[in-house]
Amino acid sequence: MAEARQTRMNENSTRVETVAVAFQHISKSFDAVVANDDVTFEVRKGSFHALLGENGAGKTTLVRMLAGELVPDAGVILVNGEQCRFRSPRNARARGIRIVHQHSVLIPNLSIAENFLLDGTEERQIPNMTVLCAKIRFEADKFGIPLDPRRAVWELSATQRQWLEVFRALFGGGQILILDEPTALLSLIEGDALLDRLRALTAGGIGIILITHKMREVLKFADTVTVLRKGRWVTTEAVRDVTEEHLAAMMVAADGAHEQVAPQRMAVKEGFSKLITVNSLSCTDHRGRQVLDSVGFVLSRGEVLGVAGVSGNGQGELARIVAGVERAFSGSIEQSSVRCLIRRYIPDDRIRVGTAATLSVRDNLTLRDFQLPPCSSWGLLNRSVVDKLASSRVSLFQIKTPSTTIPVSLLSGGNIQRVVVARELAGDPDLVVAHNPTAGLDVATAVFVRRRLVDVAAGGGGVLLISDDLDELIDVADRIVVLHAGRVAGVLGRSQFDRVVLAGLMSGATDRSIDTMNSAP
Amino acid sequence: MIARAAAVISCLALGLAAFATVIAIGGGDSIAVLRTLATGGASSVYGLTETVVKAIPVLLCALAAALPGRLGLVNIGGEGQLLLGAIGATFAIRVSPPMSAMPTLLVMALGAALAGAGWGLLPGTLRGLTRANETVISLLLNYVAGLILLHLIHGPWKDPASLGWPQTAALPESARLPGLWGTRIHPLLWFALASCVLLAILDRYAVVGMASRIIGANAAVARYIGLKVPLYYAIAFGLAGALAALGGFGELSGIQGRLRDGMSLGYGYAGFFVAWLFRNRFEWLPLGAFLFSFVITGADSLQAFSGMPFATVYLLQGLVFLAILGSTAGAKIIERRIVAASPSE
Repeated sequence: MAEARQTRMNENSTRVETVAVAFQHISKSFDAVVANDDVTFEVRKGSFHALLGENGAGKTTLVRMLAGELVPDAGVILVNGEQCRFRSPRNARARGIRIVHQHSVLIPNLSIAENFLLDGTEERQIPNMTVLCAKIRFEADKFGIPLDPRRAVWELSATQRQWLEVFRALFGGGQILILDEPTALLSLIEGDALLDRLRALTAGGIGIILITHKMREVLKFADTVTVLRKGRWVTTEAVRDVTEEHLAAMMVAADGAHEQVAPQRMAVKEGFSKLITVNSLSCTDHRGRQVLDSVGFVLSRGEVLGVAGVSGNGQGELARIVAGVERAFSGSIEQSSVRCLIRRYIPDDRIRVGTAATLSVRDNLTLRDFQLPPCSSWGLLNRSVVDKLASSRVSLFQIKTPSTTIPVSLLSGGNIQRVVVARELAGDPDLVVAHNPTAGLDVATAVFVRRRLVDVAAGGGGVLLISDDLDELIDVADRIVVLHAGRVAGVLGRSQFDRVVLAGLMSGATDRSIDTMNSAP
Repeated sequence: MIARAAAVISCLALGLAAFATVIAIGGGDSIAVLRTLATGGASSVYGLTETVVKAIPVLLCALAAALPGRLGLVNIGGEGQLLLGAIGATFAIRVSPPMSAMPTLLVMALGAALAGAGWGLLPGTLRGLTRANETVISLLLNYVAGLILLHLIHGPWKDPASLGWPQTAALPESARLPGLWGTRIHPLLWFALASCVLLAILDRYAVVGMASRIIGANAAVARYIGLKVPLYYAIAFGLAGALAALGGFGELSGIQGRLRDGMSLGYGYAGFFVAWLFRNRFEWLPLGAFLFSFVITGADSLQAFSGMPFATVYLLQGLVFLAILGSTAGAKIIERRIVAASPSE
């Protein structure tokens, strides 16, 4: 096997027979958002190919095109040297391409064998379950895994289910397996066991594409790695030739085109008053998993405090708790002023949480005002005041809408976000919690939103900016708190901002919580 | 909304056509049945006033469905809340000392409203506090209410002089709502119409109306701007229960004169249909209630003159409901086409 690996690793052997999948100039956009931009690279047969990148780097979009779930806007995909235009996952399956999604798509109430049937790989006839079960058992034994095909899927553990998905894909004739963050829901040991098995498969000529943002997994298991950044291909290299630092730098390198919002902002002065002090915040999600674990930080007036982290490491919960929307947590948020703080929240999900889709632009713009004078008196609405307020916000935040009375759902994504931002930043808020406020926005709107956030801090308010976009944080934040697995992995001051350091903290590779906590400004 | 009304009327026609087909398949004379249905409510002054009489509880139950409906909730419990109103009013008069007409009626109305509000609060608060499904709970409570009524009239409240009929003793004259203009139309008509107007005004011009609209549009947004959503749910369901219950009080005091089985000819469900058809728009509910009670009156005379069971009206209502479900889906598809065809921004 070692020899086989060596030959695979040979950079010169790019003959057609050794290339399983070739992406050539693949581009894909969703409305204004470019997910993939001219991506070109090759996956060799029998290789364990990692696809590495930050959130929103376009990893999942790319493999979904390979799996036939999406159709590329431009470019071609070659499978075994042949050009393929997949119209549906069925086409891709016929070529032996199988995708295993992050969240299990097995039906828990059905047996293993029934789930295999659903996969649609059996010929179209009345299935003989006895034969199918025997076949499944026989194939499973080859992998040394005893499997009772009549057991219901719900009886299996998360690891077993992940493995079952892989096995089902192989059983259905899979030659190229795509795994989208298969270890996200598994423990470290479980994850490693799964990846070990996957690596063993490559010896049999199965190609594996592993989507991950865990550096450790790449270095330990993969033999080739491709890095994507902001939808673009950055590099494809042999894993034995790269270092962790190199990969981290590749993942997060500065984007020259990025427009700076606050390049010359002054660092927060020592004398600024504390706005809130967050003490040992902990909470669990509905499944009882610990999402936040003793998170603590101070947010001062005049400060934009960034929160970085790979998404799903407790950011959403932190946002809701600090914004005062979620009350089920332990720990405390102390505010330094006596009077009630005006807290505002720009939620992650602007469609479902930020706006009421069927209500008008006007109503959505004045959600926070209609109950208070001057918009209402004696329990009745002052329509003309509300109308004026809404119109003034439309012009102030340059919201493109034909009228303020149309449903907000008819606006484009960027304008919907302008509505949310206009509403939440009105009336001199003391504390603004912004969660991915520029995700999916065009450049102009993103810059606009960042400027408004900086304005809040300049006006003496505090901003907690939770973002998946490192460039945004480095641009706008005064300090950055890095969350990893629900804990504070480190706090960096503006002078310490460094993409590689940040990426290391985010991936949990380095833990600088102790020394940086004390040295933070 | 005009287009909506037109759609409703055409759907009523479609439902009637399907109904006639079913009658014909069953061997009945569908033309005669339809004629009786159509003229039963309008053939005479009596028929018209009876339509108005029945429109009163239908309208109150429609309000009971529309009020939570504005918050995005579904109250199919109008029927049970109406029965609880009749029970509550009967209880009030049983425990209060003999009084003159005005205080007696007020005590009965209060008893009805409290009982109905309590019955409505059950699904309303459960929904707000535990996210239990208010639709199912309010529906199932209808059966519970019906059984409580049966228990009372067969058991503790049964009139010993009724020769075994399951009913309470007749209400004293002071406990009867007077008829207006010499008909059976009772003064709750004014109350129902006034409630309708008041709710329509609050909905449009008041802060609570705006808050309700927000909750109905997106409860997550409402929570995040700080509205006490469970409180709104509870209040809406409590008021809804009280409104439907007053319909029960009207039936008890204005029409039946005693508590007995069959207090409601499905007014709760008819009210739900009306609210649903007119998308919980308060200002349209009186028209809807009148249309539906017209059908109910027609079915009533159908039973009297054609020997057909009253249940045929449920058949008719069900068919109309199905026709409208179909038309709503159709309207949505057309709407989407229009939106897709028009240039955006």
